Amino acid sequence: MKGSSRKAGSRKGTGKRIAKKRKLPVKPVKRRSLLGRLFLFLFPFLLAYLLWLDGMVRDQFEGKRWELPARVYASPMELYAGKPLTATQLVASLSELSYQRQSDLLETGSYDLQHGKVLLHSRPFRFWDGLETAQRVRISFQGGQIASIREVRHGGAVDLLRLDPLPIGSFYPAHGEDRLLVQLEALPEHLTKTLITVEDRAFTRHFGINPLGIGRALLANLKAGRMVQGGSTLTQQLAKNLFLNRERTLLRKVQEALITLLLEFHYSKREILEAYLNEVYFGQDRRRAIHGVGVASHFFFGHSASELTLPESALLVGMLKGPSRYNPRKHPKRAKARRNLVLDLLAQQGVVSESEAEQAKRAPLGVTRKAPSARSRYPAFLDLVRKQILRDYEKEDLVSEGLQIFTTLQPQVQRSAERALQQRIRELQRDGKSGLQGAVVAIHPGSGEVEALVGDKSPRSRGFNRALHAVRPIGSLVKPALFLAALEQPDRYTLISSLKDQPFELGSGAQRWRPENYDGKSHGMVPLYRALSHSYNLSTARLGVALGIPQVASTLRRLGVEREIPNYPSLFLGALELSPLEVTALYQPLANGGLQTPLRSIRAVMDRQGNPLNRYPLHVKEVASPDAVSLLQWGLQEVVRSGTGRALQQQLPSTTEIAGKTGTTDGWRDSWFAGFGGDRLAVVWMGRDDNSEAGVSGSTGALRVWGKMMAEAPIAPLQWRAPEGVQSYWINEAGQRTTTRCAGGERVPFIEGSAPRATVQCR
Amino acid sequence: MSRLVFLFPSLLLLLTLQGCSSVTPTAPVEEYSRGTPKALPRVVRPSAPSAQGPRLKRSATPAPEEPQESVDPLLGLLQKIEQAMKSGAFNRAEGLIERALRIDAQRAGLWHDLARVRYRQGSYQEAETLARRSNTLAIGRPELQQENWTLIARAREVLGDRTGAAQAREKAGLR
Repeated sequence: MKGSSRKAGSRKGTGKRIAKKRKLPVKPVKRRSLLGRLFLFLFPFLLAYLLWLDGMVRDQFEGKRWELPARVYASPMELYAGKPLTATQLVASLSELSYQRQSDLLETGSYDLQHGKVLLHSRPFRFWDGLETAQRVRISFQGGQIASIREVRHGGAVDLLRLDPLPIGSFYPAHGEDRLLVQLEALPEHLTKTLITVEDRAFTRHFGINPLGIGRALLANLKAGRMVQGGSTLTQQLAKNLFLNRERTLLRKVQEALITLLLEFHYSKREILEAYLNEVYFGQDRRRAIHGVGVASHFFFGHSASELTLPESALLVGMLKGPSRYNPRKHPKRAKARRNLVLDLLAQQGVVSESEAEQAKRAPLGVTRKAPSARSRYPAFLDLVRKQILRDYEKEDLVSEGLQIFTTLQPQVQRSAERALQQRIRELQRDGKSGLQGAVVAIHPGSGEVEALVGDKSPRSRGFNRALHAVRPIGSLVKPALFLAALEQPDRYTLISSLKDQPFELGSGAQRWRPENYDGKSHGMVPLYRALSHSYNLSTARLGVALGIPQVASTLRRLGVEREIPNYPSLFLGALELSPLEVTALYQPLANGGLQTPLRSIRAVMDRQGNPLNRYPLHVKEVASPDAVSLLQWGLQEVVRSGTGRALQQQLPSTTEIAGKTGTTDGWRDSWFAGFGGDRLAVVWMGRDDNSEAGVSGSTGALRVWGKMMAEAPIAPLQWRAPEGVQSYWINEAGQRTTTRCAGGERVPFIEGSAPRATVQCR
Repeated sequence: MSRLVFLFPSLLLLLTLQGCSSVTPTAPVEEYSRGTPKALPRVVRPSAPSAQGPRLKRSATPAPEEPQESVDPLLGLLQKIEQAMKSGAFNRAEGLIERALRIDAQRAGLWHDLARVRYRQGSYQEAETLARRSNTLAIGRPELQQENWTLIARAREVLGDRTGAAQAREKAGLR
């Protein structure tokens, strides 16, 4: 309400001041009638009431006016030459964004597919960092990536194009009113014209109340002997809808008339029309009340109000007579008849030509088959958003201030995570392993942004969110922290330090602890990296004992573990209990060269007018030696190259270097896999809610989900590089340094000064 | 105000005419619709009027076949970042850098820029961490490495670490 609130603003407050200063204009009357006296007596009271009403009307109209749900958006898709994306994938994303296929690209929000190229007319969108304007571009593809993006008209290269973000949910107020504010300027002209023609033809001329209209209605009703016509103007309807309840008493009528006049007095016709279009009720979707053309357009047609066509506008306006009676999904025939009646009226009144009306009448209703649900498709991720945003905002504001929340969700990654988990659980069920559940968390390791979060094998389920709340022993997933603690002491440990993999026991009686390997065997002397890559328990536990519980616990703390850390040696083999999200946080610095960044699901928040409120910036903190972390990453790559994670090679291209760790807990209760490449870290958990035996190991359960997910939403290879303080040397099978490559030898990285000095020749 | 007072008496008259105006749909007292939908709620872009893109008068005609050339996707963003840094709009720069990093997290220069932003914001420890991250990626770029070490030296100096600052200056070749 920009324009005229200024007009109203200039008058603001003057009314009350004048009332105080001036005396009431009472003319001296010699002989007063009884009625006259009564009027004089009541006048101050009525005036006071009028002033009160005036304040209320202005407060509400200019103030907040409506409680607006918070809108939550996914991460917008960025398009640029070189981005790994196929035409099919782009088209899928565009239809998810409700882009319409249209060969002329006239409207924003349209696209076309021609000879393997995508033509696109993007929608404008106001982001927290500025406006992204609409563009018409041609996108060509080559070798699984975008080859070029060019303007359609001039052919100029476009460096970067950000699409409007996918809305992924809302936080509704308790009364369930859903509304999306639209500005009059953004609406097609035929919508407002249709509305005025049908509901209030004298709208631009009357002063809020139309005595002629009322007279006409009165006459028509008398003739018919019942109510057939109403005389309410749009302003009166707005006054009723905005300020009053449904009672039909005389007092209410007085109020309505007063409010109507006050509205007309203070505000321009355009403002009144805009408020009407945002207020008007279009029906009910379960507990959600559909208010305003903004939500109604999405609810019925699956696109924004600015993209309404003439027949769609006619349908919406026609519905106002009885939103339930003319609901186009429930009563399509009745709705169509009503729409066509409206179109005839438009032609009759000369608003549109006969041929335009005829053409519009031939159009289908255009209503999407199913109403879009108010229930989010991403309930688990929204849990996380809610949790994080409630740190900074009051719950009331979250559901009433119309906040726009920009999140980090990557819909493609999310979809592949959901599908991968569902599919693997189904496969295992066929093999007789029933009752399995699971969770997936995926982040960008460099920024800590949460890209996907799945909390149930049925991703739409609103129940127990395992990604956040299933706190389980993490098994061997703890080992990297323990090996990191060792590698941070380069004078004591290197990747090739020899560890004894033989049975031992600690304590006695009930305190006795005797670890075992999963295969039940012992492996003699093994290099440190193999103890990690093959997840040997005996050698790892011995290493843990040598380091000591405090050392391992403090490394875990540094890496971000906030829960209680067990103070007994079974910690070394994963007695620590964490949720999948917490495990992800623990692995984040390991995937990011020792730099920790808090996990974030929100990038920025804007208010309803589009002003930025908060940003949640990227912060980093070094929590582990980057040199030691690079050694550990090398070791975790060995897991996938030759260790317990090698099954992953069957699922991913051989060029994809991945670091990861499997985890299986006692009695096969929990199956874990944590892995990362260059641009993604994901943690998968699988198990049963009652904590009974699940019968899957880390590599048969969680790892397979991980691999399938990354095969679908490609992950960049790790591209491991030795930092400045790390050098790699050839090491033979006996663990000796050689000058050249020997059969069975490997290049192993060492922190400066820790490599064996002596070299031997190949045998 | 005076107009308000004039409005008032005319109301009574109008009210008498008002008796039979029809009731337009107001807020909900309806049965819940039975649709059990799967799709998500669609949202209008609350964009400003100027946000409306140019409407085409004629339909799109294909442009001549373009030669394949590589455009740096960050071209425009890098310019905006530079402008923001120059004008001291560090919060804005920070947001732009993060957006650029989402597109290319391996670009050493972006990490250097973020380090400078943090330095300006007074987060010296973090500035050093970011400058070092930049250095791990700035392979074969001695001038950027030098800038990073210079920044590290200044950050350490502010933090009172004279020895560390001297070492960093030495790495930067500033002795």
